[in-house]
Amino acid sequence: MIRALGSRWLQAVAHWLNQPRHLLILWLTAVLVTLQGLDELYLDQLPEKLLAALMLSVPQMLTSPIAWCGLAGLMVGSDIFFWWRLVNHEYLITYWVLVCAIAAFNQFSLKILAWNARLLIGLCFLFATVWKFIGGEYLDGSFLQLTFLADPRLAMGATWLGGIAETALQDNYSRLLEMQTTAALGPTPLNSSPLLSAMSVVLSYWTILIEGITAIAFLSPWPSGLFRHRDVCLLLFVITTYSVIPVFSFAAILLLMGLAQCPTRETFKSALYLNLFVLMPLWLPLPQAVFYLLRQLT
Amino acid sequence: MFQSASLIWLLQRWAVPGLMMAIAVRQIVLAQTVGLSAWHGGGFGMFASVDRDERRLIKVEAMTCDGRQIQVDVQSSSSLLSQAERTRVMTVPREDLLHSVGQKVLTAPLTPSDRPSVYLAETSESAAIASAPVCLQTVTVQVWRPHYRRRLNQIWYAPVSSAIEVQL
Repeated sequence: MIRALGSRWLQAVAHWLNQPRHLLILWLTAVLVTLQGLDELYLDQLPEKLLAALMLSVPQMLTSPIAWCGLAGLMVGSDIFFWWRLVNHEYLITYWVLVCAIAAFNQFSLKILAWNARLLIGLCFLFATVWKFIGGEYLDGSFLQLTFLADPRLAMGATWLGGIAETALQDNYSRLLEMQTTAALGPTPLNSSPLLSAMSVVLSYWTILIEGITAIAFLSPWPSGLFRHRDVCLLLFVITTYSVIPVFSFAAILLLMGLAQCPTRETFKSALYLNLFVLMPLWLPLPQAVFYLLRQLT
Repeated sequence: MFQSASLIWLLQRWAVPGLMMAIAVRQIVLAQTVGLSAWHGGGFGMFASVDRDERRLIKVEAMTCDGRQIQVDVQSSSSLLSQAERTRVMTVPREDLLHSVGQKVLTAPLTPSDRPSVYLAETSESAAIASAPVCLQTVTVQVWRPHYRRRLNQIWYAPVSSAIEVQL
């Protein structure tokens, strides 16, 4: 049963990869624009989502330069007006739709899509690395330690990596909330552990290393070995990061651009990008789900 | 003809990455100058700083007409600012935005909270119970951001904007 299901899945993936690559990229882009941020939908984003959904349902629209320009126009307009509200992956998705709109006037040339995808990924990682140096809160592990201690999304990391009890984390969340509601702004200690403190430093350096290497791999053709293995860097980053911090849209846009810049002859890597993109609703929340299940059981 | 082809080639390859770089550099500059939160503005500073906009707070202090110093809560349960207004002021604490918050507080009905010397600023429509009106002389608005040091394992707040004073 499982073997038959797996075999049919592989056939489906092969079928998707065998169609013209630009069609696959455009289709996945329209899916991403339609679905991203649906959990916190703003009215101003509704026209772009409706247009993207329409492009998915009318095949001629998916390859229409006018439709892509319209979609890019709607997204840029919304982004200009609400620039202060947007987070980074929303910018990245708009940049990518702009690339699709530009490529539309050249029959969605894969060369244009691939070139821009590679640069956008590289620049994204470059600026992420730069911020970790200029922010002044990353290199000593402060950022990651506080994020483990105060962000419920990283409760799994705090418990498994740092041995912090759930009650101690709940106490931290309450203390932070109290600081904000009562404007008690003086120094407040949080519950932590020496293990989590050490892990925060180690993981900080791991993140800087993988992000920095990925930036170089995508932006520079030298060293050539690194350039050739850039997909390994990106896939390693996506799998290790987003299984701990499940940010669907960011993982999706990185995988989509990763697929767009991956040469079509690299069938294994292309299939890996596509599998990770399509199966994201399964693998991305899995570690968190296991964590919460185990927590309930214990 | 050649120039036009070169321009198209340039546009196809560098327009979007160029735009991305310009916006990211602008975000870094705004973060260093007007206190834009690292998490917003397209500079890819999220997951690099503890300074998330939702952890920031708007501190409003006021002097009443009879000379009392009070605090005005515009965050937790106040209806004076919409969620979007609050997010914008906390994310980009520009002087004009802080001034506009000060003006609103100055003319808003205030209701006492369960904390001493702390009042909630409401809109005229939502100020349900008519308690004795509070007359304000001056209002000072400032946005604060969190700081954290791993070695100290302490979190504290410090101003990220200048304090803007609005007078009646």
